[in-house]
Order: sequence, then structure tokens, then C-alpha cells
Amino acid sequence: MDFVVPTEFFFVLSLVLFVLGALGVLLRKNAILVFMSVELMLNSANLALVAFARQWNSLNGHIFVFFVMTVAAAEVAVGLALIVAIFKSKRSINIDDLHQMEG
Amino acid sequence: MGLELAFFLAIGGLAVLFAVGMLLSENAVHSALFLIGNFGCVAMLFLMLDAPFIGMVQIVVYTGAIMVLFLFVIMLLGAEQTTDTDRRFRWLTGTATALAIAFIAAIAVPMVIGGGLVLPEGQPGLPQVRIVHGANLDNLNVTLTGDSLEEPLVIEDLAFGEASDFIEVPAGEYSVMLAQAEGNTALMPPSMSPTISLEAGNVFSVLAYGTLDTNTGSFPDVALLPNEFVNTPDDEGRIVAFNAYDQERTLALVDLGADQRVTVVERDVRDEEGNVVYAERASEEDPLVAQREIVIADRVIADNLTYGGEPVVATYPEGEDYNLAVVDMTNFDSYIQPNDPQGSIQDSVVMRLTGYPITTATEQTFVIATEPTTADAQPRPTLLDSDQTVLLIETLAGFGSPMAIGQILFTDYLLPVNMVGFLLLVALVGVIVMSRPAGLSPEQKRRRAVRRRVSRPLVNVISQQTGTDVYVDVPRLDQPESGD
Repeated sequence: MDFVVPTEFFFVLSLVLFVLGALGVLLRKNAILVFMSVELMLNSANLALVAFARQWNSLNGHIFVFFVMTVAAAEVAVGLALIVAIFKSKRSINIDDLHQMEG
Repeated sequence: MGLELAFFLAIGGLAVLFAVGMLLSENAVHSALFLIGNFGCVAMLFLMLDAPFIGMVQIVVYTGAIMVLFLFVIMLLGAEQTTDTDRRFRWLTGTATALAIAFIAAIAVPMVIGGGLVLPEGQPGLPQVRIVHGANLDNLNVTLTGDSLEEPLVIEDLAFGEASDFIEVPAGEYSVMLAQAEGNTALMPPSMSPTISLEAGNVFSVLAYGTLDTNTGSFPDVALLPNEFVNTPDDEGRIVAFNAYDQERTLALVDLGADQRVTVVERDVRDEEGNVVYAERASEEDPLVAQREIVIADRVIADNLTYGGEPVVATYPEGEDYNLAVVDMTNFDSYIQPNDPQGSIQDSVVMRLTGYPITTATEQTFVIATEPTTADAQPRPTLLDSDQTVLLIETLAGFGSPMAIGQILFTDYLLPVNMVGFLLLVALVGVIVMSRPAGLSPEQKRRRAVRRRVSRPLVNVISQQTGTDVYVDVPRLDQPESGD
């Protein structure tokens, strides 16, 4: 069955958003910006999942998206608490300054 | 270019622009707002993809909770002004951007040239089947055997009017064997077992009907009633009707209306095109006269119910209190007495049902069967009204609706839902632990100072000399509460 907007279009859009998120992770220096770029990547994966769920007429894609969103919410909460805790001790969230764990 | 395609390009382009804005913005709050815009666009794309639930969850959870949390933390830390000018990795921006464009091109260009992805169609689900006992017999054991099944499917001890649950079986041909429940004696030789074929993606009721009459050599038979669990039109319910009662007569299911009487009208006979049919009369002045006929005026819900014939599927508006009747249509004209057509036609009613409800978004399998009676009483027609079962909510509820997703989440995915709930609880506890005030409480500081003062003789000497206490401030990791 043919859709007016084919699944490939949504796939390419998801790809573009994912690459933009990856660029954000690599290039930005603010830890919170990096985090937001990770959220953008997760969101693009959700878009691809829902597009294919429509293609294959299966609700499993939607269920997976539901779980991804829930886990992303938990991850954001924990990650932001971590950033706040780091900020309290180091007074900076520039990721270039957070290199305590490097070898 | 269709409206939907233009809409997609506009919203998708806006989403990409928002994402780029988020990347390039210097102010972290602006970046967060751009990301909120991006999430809003993606929510609209979800709506375009027949995913209303996910779209709304995206807005409520992602933009409404996660991004608000981000904004809170950005404000809390005062991190709006981001300093991204670092000399060391200036080459990184250009290289990364070039690689990103190359990556997108490497995937998108072959796809465009190759005419799109090769995407298989969704697999239709396995057929689901249930057995309904409508035969003029005592309790039955029904066995389904087929090549696709490893072992035969047996439904045991099915009482009259009872239906088993829906069972998923592989698609294919099956032969149905009926046997008495007591003693498991087969009712017909295996060679005469009826065969049914079940196609994928469909739902069936297998109805056993008929009688076992050794005198006339008739065996019970099996009919395949389709249950189409697609959504009914608004405010209508679906009825699948089958005649398993009367071998000679063709029946019809009729809505009598409030008067609970069959109503007939006299009208001109018309042919297929709708022209009036005239009959010749042997009269010179008026050679042609319109033929008249008397037909039923009440609404017929399901017509042409022959014994063992095709089941009739009909939709009807919903209502609490229908007065239905099963009417004999084969001899309909014979009941009509010319002097009292309205009164005499009531004899054509085979069975009455008063106060019958028809519910929207459900499917009712309406089988008129012969109730098995042990005495020599006349066989009575009865209605097998075994279901208002709402099966396959996902098809009834519509693809992607909250009802459908809720149904799946709490049946098939109950364990993952519970695990994710536990995960959220752990995250909650983790956040609370991490947000505890850093550093020692004054109590701990005092205790440590006391210990320090006692155990360091050199410090004692110094303090004696200088006259003040000496406290050594050793940087150490936060100890957990040791309880002493």
C-alpha cells in the first residue's frame, strides 16, 4: 500500500536529525548542550521507529518508542543531577575541564 | 504535489532548521527553546504517521517535562553564556560537518537513485478461530486437524450455545471432526468430516450445526462465519447472521420497530430499472394495469438466510431496545390474507426478540439454531447470542490510538512496563542521593576535628606554640554516613 509521504522520506529526515545531534555531541563544549544533542538523537530514532511502524502496520514500533521516551526521561533526570553535582564542585560545566577520569 | 507532502516538507524543514539553530546558538536557553520547537515539529510528524498517542506523549513528556527540566538546570547553573571558542580543536568543526554531509549523502543518494527502500509489507497476523456449538446435539468435542498443526486442536465438552475462546492457529486447511463429549464417539466417519480453510489475518467462528439423524442420513455440518473485527461505522454495530434452524425456509432478520408487529405495504411491482411492471388485463378500456405486490415495510437487517448458506454480515445503528423478529421469507406471500393483511402476516414470524441491544464497535454473531430437546416437543428456534466479546481491540480501536496501545502494553508488554517503572524509581532515588548537600555536616566536622586533635602530636606542639588549634583541611571524598 502506498503512502502519500513514503517511509523513505521520514527515514531521511530521521537520518538528518540524527546526524545533527551527533554533530552537537562532538562539537559543543557545554555539557548541557551535549545532553540536548543526545536527546535530539533519541528523538530522531523515535521518528524512524514510528515511520516503520506505520509501514508495517505493527504497533510494536509505538511501544518501543514509549519505552525509549521513558528511559530518556529517567536518563535526563539522572544526567542533569550529575551535571548539577559536578557544577557544585568544579564551578564549570565546560566539558574540556571535566577530564578527571582520563588516564 | 499533495497537501500532505507539502505539509511534510514544511514541518520537516522546520524541524531541521530548529535543530541547526539549537546547534549554532550561543545562548543555552535559546538552544533549549529551539529544541522545544524541534520536538513540537516532530510531534506533528507523529500525528501525520497515524501515531496520535506517541505524538501527545512527545509533547507532554518530552517538551513538557524533559525540556522544562533542562531549562530549570540551565537557569539554576547560570549556564546561559556558553564559551565555545577553544583554539585547540578548530579543525574539528569543519571536519565533522564535512563527514556528516558525506554520511547523509552516502545513505540518501543510493536510496534516491535506487527508487526507495525495498520494504516488505506487514505480515498479516495468524488466523484466529473459535468453535461455536449450534447443533441439535448434546455436548460436543471438536477436533481440528491440519497439516499446519503439529497436534490436533481439541475443544472439549462444548455445551449447546457455548463458544470457545479465540485461538490462534497457522493458516491452512483443516478438517473438523465432531464427537459426542460422553464417550468421545465420533458423529461421522472421518472421510465425511467437513474441511475449512483459514486464511491469514482473518478471524473466524466455526459453527457446528445440524442434527445427527441416522434415519435420513444427515450429519451435522460446519459453517465458517467470518468475524470482521475492523471498526464499524460510527454509531453502528455489526451483526453476522446465520440460519442453522430451518432447512426449508429462508429467513430474514427484521427490525419490527416500536409496534412489535410486522408491517406490510402494498406497492407497484418494479423491475430492475425501477420501471413499473404492468400486467395485461382482459379489458378493452384498460388493457394494462400495474401489478401490485405486498412487501414487508419494516427494515430488514439481514436477508436471505438460507439453511447452511452464506452467513450475512450487516451493520445496523446502535440501540438499546430493538424489537427484532426472524421472519419466514420464502412463503411470505402465503401468510397474507387479503382481508386482513396486517394481522395475518404476524404468522410469518418464526421467532421474536424484544429489547435486544445493538452496541456500537462490537460484533454480534447471530445464529438461529435449534435448541436440543430430549422430549418429543417441537424443536424450538433459539438464538445463540454468545458474544459481545470485544476482541482485537487494536483493530476496533484504531491504529495507534491510546486504547490500542494501552491494550498491548498491559497484556503483551506487562513485564517491560513494570521494569521501566522500577527503572524510574531507581532514577528517582539516584537523583535524590546525588542532590544531597556536598561536604560534611557540622557534626561530622566537629567529630573529625576532635579526632585530629588527639592523634597528631606534632599538631599539638604547633598549637602549643602558636596558641591556637590547628585543623588540617585534608581534601577527601565525601564519606557516606558510617553511623557512628
